[in-house]
Amino acid sequence: MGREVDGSGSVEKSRCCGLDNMHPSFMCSGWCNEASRMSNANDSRSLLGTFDSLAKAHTRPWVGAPRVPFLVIGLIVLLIAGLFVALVIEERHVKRESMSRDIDAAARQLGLRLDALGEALSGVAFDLNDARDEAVRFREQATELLGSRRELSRVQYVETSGHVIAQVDAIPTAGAVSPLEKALEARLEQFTASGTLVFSHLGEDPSQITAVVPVMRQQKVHGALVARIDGGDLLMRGVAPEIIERYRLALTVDDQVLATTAASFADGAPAHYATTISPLPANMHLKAAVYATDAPLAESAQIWGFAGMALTVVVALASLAAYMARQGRIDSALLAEAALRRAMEDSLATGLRVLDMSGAIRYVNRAFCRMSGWAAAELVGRRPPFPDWAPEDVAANMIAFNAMLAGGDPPTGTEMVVQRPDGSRFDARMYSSPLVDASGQQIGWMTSIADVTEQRRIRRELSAAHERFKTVLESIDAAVSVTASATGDLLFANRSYAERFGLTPAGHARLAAGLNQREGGEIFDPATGCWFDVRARTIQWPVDQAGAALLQNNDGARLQIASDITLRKTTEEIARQQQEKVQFTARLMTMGEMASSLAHELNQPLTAIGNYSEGTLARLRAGMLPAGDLRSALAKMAQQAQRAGAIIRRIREFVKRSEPRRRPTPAARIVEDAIAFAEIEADKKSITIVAEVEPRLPPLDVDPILIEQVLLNLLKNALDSMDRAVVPRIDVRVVAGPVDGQAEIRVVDRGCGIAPEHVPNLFQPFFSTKAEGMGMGLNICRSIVEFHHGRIYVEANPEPVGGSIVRITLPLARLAVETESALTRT
Amino acid sequence: MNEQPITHNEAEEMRGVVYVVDDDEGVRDSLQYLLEASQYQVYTFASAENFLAQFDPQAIAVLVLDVRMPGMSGLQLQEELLARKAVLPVVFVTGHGDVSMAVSTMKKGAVDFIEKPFNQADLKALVDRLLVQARERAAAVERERMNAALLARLTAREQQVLERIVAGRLNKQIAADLGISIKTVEAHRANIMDKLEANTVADLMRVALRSVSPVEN
Repeated sequence: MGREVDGSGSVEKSRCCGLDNMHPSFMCSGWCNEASRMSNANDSRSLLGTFDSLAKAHTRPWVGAPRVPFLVIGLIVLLIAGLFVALVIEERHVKRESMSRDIDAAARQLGLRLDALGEALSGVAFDLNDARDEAVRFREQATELLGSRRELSRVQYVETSGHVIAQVDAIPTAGAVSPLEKALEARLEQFTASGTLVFSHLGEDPSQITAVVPVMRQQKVHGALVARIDGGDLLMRGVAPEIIERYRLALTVDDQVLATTAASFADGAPAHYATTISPLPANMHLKAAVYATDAPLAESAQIWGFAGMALTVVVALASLAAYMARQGRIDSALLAEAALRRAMEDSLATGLRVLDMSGAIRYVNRAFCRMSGWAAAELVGRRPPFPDWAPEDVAANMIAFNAMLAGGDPPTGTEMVVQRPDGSRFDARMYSSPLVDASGQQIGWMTSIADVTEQRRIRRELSAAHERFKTVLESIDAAVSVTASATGDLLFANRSYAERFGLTPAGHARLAAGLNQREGGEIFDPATGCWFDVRARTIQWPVDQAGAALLQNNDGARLQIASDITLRKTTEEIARQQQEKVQFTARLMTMGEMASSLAHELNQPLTAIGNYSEGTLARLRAGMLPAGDLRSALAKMAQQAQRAGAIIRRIREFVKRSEPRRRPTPAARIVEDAIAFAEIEADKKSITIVAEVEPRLPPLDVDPILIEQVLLNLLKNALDSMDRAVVPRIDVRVVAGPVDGQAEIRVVDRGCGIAPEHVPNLFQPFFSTKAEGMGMGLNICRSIVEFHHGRIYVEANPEPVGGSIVRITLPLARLAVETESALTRT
Repeated sequence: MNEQPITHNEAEEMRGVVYVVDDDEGVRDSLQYLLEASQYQVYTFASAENFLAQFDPQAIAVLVLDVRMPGMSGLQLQEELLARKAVLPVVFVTGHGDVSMAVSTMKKGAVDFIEKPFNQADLKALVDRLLVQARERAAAVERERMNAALLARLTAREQQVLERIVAGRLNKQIAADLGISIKTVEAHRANIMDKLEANTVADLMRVALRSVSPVEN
């Protein structure tokens, strides 16, 4: 790696191209060092030039390279081996030739010597042609011969029969003569028949050669001379000493060694050579073998020199091969690394641009081209202003560019607009740093360019979303507040909250207290006098450093949303009242219907009873009433009466089911409700209804619906009596009653009043002065009032205009617990 | 009661036949008891359907009908009777006065209505009156039927002559209208008088003018 990290962890920039200093995603593997070494690192231009050359290079490492020297080596080795072998063979051949030459020479020498010997011997034999003193003469010549020819060991003068006449030994022996061997004796005649000297092996001593020469007398074989030659001596004296030195020699007869010069002679020894010796018989050979310790070494100096040279060549080639292999590996590694770098570069989303010291673009990566839309060819070599600068920014960009050349971009980079060839643009953020080679010299600038359009857009959108959110929060009517659960401090409040409660947590706390651990509810805030629908929840409040301190271990925060529902509350109250009125009306209607069906039901048995009665009467008048008829008629009549009774019972039960329910109710509410309902009709007649309720009156202990019903009935009666009233006003007054624990409601009208003759019948059922009145009203009213242990009175209005006053007394509730303030305020 | 249609004999009809239709047994039975005290012949039916199945449309009778009944109501029965062109007079019995209903029933031809509980005398007077009306009407119907039968005897030419006589045309004019001689007209006249069993022109007129169905009146 080209990086070195010192103790403090910072990166030393000295040795590297500076790639890895440009951007955290870069890491130089040090290949730039190799490259620079290979291409003369001191030339900064050439480092940049490697960009170009590598860019253009299509070379792949020559795959076969390391193999060639091996081939050559192999060939050479083969050649040398071949030569070596050839040489060896040649050597051998030469040796063999030389040996044959030598041995042939030796054989010749031996042959000569033997010939000479044979001559001499023949001479002696010739001399013995003369028989005089043959023994003495023989002895003399034989002794002379023996003396001059040391290889002779004995000469014998024998008769044709083989009988030894005389014998001379080289080493005198005690015995004078030794008989001839039988074998020799047998062949003697044959030998002498040739008339010449004959060599043979037949002798006592296996290491001796026998020479036989006939002695002639008068052309007849008289006898023979038999000489014994010692094989060893013959060899030693007959062969040139240098040959004896060089070779093992042996005389063989029938392949059996007769005599040898060496201590041992193995027939199969290397470079064996055999030849015949001319005067000797054909089954006798001279065999020679080369001494093992012979010095082909010495003679093969050139071979060895050659071998040495060959070895040197081999070594040299092997080194070369190794070197080339290593180079090949380096090349592969380099190119692989370069390819990897290239791939990394090309796959970078970030654009890279290399400038030289003068500010000209030397290189742009694929991402840059892709991003900016410009082809590398259009950019490389260009000087500013660059084609990717927007025309209106040229001046500003030039200033920034020169600033960068002077001292580099700030670490956070600069933003600029990049223009594509088609004129479209995008926002880019650029980081520039010095590009430093292995020796630490700056050779240019490295710029990385990232398309931040998306980032910018996201930032804008985020900001806009934040704004929207803020706007929403600030615009909604509900008061949104967040307090820290632990400390109660106000963490957030929207505008609504601030306007209502101010920027303090007090309002939040009040409403929270009202909720009392519930998640939601309707709370009345006395401080502001409003009703709120409050919802609260515990949340995790995302904080920065400052906020975390407030939250203290982040117990969470309490989010509260309070909507002002005061208006809704009042509306609800009104709606509730309307609802009650509707029910009230419905009740009345039901009553009407009930009365109607009641009437019909009772009518049936009543009619039947009437018919039976009248039928009976008619029959009585006509004087025809059989007892049977009468009985049956009366029985049926009774039946019908019972039926009527049953109907009545049903009604009673029905009535019991809807028993009144009494509870403390403020009089004012009953009065208001009844008036509100009656006002519809009062308005039609342009009559006003005025209510006067005594203040601080305790609530009444009544069934509010029934009393309302009563009051409404009275109001309706009052309205009905005031068709053309002079004073179009009805008063409803509620005062503390005549008796302690009672209250009185008075309905005062200025209508037509009640005629005195009607007064006793007023409360009778079915009594009505009205055209379509059923006559049930006052009767029921009395029932209701009396149920409440009250009384109802009707009297004339003493005012001049007249009219009526109806008074009802009702009980007050004994304990007034309700906080009427809250209720009466609504 | 009976399942077969009822037929009435002279005696019954003399006394007067009253049909009572009411779903309430007590009322029905007591009404029968009441009416029988006045010597009427009373037939009761529990439902309008029963009544329709059994009543005699030719009878001279009065129908006392309860307005409110389950199934076919009184009003519906009245309409059915109208559809059948029955001439039965109807007394509606109501439990609660209903002005608009009264008006509608009257328009359709019911004769009267009475509220219960009712008065025996009132009821009797009403029934009597209606029976008299029924009889008269029956008689009128009979007369007209007879007249129609008589008129049917006339030939076409005779009818043409009769029409003009009724229109007050003189013989001369009639002859001129029809293109026949006066003599012929006179002959026709004589024949007509014969066929229609009329002695005077007044009789002739009576017969001619009455040959209309009573319902269409």
